[in-house]
Amino acid sequence: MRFAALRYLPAMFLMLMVAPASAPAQIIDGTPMDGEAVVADLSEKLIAITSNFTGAEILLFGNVDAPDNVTPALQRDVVAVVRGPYEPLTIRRKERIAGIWVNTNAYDVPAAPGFYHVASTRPLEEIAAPEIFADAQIGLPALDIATGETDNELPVTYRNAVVRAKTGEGLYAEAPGSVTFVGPSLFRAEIALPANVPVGSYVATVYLVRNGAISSQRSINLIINKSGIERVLYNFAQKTPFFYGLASVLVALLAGWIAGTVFRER
Amino acid sequence: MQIYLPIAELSVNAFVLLGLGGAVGFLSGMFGVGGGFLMTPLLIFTGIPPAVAVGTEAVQIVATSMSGVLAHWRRKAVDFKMAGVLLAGGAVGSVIGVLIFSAIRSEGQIDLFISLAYVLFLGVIGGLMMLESVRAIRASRSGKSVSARKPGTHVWIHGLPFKIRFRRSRLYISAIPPLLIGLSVGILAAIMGVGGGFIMVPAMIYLLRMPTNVVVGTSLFQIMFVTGLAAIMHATLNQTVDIVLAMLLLIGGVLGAQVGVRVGHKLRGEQLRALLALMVIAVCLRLAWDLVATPDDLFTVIIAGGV
Repeated sequence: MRFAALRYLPAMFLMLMVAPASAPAQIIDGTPMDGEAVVADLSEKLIAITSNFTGAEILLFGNVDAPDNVTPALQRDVVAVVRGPYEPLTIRRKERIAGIWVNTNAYDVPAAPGFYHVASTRPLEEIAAPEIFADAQIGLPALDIATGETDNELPVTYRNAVVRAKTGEGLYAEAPGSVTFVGPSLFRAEIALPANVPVGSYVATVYLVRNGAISSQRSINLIINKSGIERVLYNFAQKTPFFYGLASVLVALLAGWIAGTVFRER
Repeated sequence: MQIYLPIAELSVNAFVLLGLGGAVGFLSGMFGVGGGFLMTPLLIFTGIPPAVAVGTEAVQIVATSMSGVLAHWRRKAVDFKMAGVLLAGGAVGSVIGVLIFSAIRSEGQIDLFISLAYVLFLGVIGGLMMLESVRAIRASRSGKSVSARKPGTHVWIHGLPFKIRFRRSRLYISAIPPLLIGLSVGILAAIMGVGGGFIMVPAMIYLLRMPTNVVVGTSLFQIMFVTGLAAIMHATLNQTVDIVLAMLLLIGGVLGAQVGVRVGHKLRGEQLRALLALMVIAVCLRLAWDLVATPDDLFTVIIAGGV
């Protein structure tokens, strides 16, 4: 189990701090400590969308354990990927028919991340080979957007259209250089969530890359939810749409009645 | 001040929406029109998804027509019987309209369909209004008064069966024409997110020959119910009614309408109508341009089942 050791990371971290620099690789919980381990956390794990929500910025911070104190910071890279709630997409292509632009072809993608942000210490291509990132779907080129049907594969132009559209909305981004080391082992990254960020559960995964290979990773959950009156209204509209509609009309009638009475013609 | 719209799921400037509501309210107060046919395209221009614009606008029209109907009610200028017959047609029409809307939406053509419907109707209405007001301005310059069509003349409509006596309109006509008018305006209202007064009023005057003093009150009264029904159906079937957006537009609209009514009294009717016609044509051309101009991106990506 690659993750088993992660639970004991704070303890390990402390041990490494007190251990002499020349100590041999230690074995804790059966996992050899020949690589480096990474700990990370988010400044906020629950983001509430209220009526004045205009986006948010979360701080991702963490620490990289060095096996020895002589490893220079530049030889290790941190890549953080924040993935948002997966949602089904429909991609349509317009064609000019009789002078006007009409949607003609369409493809459905059953699940694509609603938010995808890659923060890294350096551009991904400088950190490791594309194959390393492909498996873990790190970076926009490696992101898996597909129809899931072998006989009806998503053409690359449609895939690019998704990335282009989501990037344009600020929902997909690659931010090389946004993970910065503060001192030899502490790192931080600011991740901007735009106002149109979808609600749901997010996972921020921090990968430690060393010598062109992913040596350690850690995931942190993040929840973005509507809160307060927005949440009440949204749930009302989704769960009991008929009564929501009825209530909207009653509110409108009341508002109209108030307006008609207050501004009564004399 | 940015405000997050819970159903449209985007953050917009509240003052922009209040201003938009105010501007359209001002025009509707000045010209005595509902304003839905201007508001829905303007909402689309500001980036509100067309489906949400249509569903939400229905709610706003309920409120505007309610406040308008009160004044006519006090003056006893509402023919409830006629409104009932129009409503019977309108209710069926709005159900058909919302079903058509849902069907076209799942085909992915709703934006195109809404735009096409607007270009067609705004073009025709704007053009006719322009012609009429230019003619009226010319006539008033040459000192002649424009005569309306003579009342009481018999047309084919009076030969239809199922005659009903409408006391307040002083009419004894078949129920079929008002039912059909109600039906078609109901369909239109549901699809386009408008009240349909701009079609209902001329139809009542020219086809049904109703006396003008009860036309506006009766039309508003039945629009209130038909758009109310359309709003409930949009909310139920499409989840596209944003009450926060509706309230913002409403507040601006109510205040704007009061100013508009007062300014409107000071301006001359023909010039006012020419001005409105120009605006209608401008909105129509803008929508038409968006249909024919090559889009920045040929692809559209939407969340399936979302707005």
